[in-house]
Amino acid sequence: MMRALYTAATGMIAQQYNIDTISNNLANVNTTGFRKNSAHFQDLIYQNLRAPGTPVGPSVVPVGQDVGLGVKIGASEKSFTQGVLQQTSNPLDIAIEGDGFFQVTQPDGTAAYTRDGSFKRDANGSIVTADGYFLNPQITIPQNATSVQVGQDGIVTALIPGQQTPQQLGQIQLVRFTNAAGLAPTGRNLFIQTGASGAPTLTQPGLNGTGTLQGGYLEQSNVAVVEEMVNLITAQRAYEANSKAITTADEMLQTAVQTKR
Amino acid sequence: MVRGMYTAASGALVAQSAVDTIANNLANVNTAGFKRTLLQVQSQPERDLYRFQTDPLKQGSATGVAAQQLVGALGTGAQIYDTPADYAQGTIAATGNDLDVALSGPGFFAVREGNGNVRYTRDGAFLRDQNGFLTAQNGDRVLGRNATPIVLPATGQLQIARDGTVNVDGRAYDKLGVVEFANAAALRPEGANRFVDTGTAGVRAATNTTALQGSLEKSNADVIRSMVDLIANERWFDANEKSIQTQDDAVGQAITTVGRTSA
Repeated sequence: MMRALYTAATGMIAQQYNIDTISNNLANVNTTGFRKNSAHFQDLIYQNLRAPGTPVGPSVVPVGQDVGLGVKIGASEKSFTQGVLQQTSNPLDIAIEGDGFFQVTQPDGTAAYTRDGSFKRDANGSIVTADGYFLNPQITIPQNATSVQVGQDGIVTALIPGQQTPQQLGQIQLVRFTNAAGLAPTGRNLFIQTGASGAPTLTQPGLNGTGTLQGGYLEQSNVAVVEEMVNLITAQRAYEANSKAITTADEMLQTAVQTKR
Repeated sequence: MVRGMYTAASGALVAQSAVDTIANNLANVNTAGFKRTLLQVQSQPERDLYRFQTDPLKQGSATGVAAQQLVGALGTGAQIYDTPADYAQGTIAATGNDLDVALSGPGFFAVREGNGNVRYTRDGAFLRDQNGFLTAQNGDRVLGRNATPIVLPATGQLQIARDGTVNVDGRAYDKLGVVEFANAAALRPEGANRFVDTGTAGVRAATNTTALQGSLEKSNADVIRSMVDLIANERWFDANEKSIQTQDDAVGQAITTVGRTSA
């Protein structure tokens, strides 16, 4: 059968994946700390119909013939560009300005990483994520403490009744990865380490190229709606164009079949 | 059988290959750094037609000697001549990602595959792998100065100048190994957005190419042109099929009517 049918089908599948990715970005446009994905495509192998130098009679073919077989999904790349910081009134809303992730401990004891700094206090005063996962290193705020502050360097302080100066409760640490794009998203705004991301490096905020912290702010999603809309249009048009290639191939096959009456 | 049928069939087959090629261009309309494939068609070699007849001068002899008289040349159809890539510049779109680099001009990035082979690509959507190597999306290492892979330091602000110089925190660190070719027609597409030098491309350091950080070069496949080509090739295919049908009709007529003995 015609290659065009299958080639155009790979194009439609790729664009479908593209639209799936864009839809997920748009669905998370208001998700704190969300990092947008972008689909990356690669052309498939080329079928060599005739190699250059093939002898034809007394002469040789000066140039070859290749026909491409379509497209494949190369990667779905996370973009770690900074999201907009939005002020909140909660001192435990912490935004990272720059590179780095918060390290949290999942219920099974393994580490996960997030840019979502909307932290809470649990019943014992420990700083936890919205899902109740402990921040690592763990920091506990005494029940009677007031005016909790998070410094740019991650030092958490609070006023304890009866004391004149704020008491230091701990320091939030950030982790960096050589290849943050290689982290695996697991949902709930969390990422986990993979073989491609490299090992996490624990550092103090503001040191060695790590970002600084802003208490009382949340980092919004880095999805730009207009950009996604443009991507959506190009993806849809590409999908349509590929469907036309299928229609054309189909009509040609029909013509070919009808040649014999 | 009827020669014209095979001639028309060769045209239909080329039209089919043309649609295959257009389908591949359309499938890659959103592939970064993709270069569309063109299809060049040529006529198949013409054949001289001779009329064989008995030489009138030799008439009367036991065996008449056949004499050849040239009637003229007969075309035998169409065939694909070449499928060159069109290296025309694709649109450059800003992405804001520091590891995305678009090339403006005739150059290519050089990458090294896991098995040590060097390939060339226009797709500048790079990553930094777990060991700090600057890589293409499929893990091929991007080559820098002296054709050695670029290793980025763990920290520091990455800036890529228009000449390809890789600066880290404002200091020159390495340089993208951008290359140009004396004869880009000798490159062959290999898939995964890479091209391979078939041996006569004539690789040299780039002089007319600028690198643009934070941008990607889009595919140069053109949807409108592809749509028009689809229509044209479908009609070309149809016309050849009609030609086959017409000749089939004529043969059918010959079989049914010429052989008829009585009305």
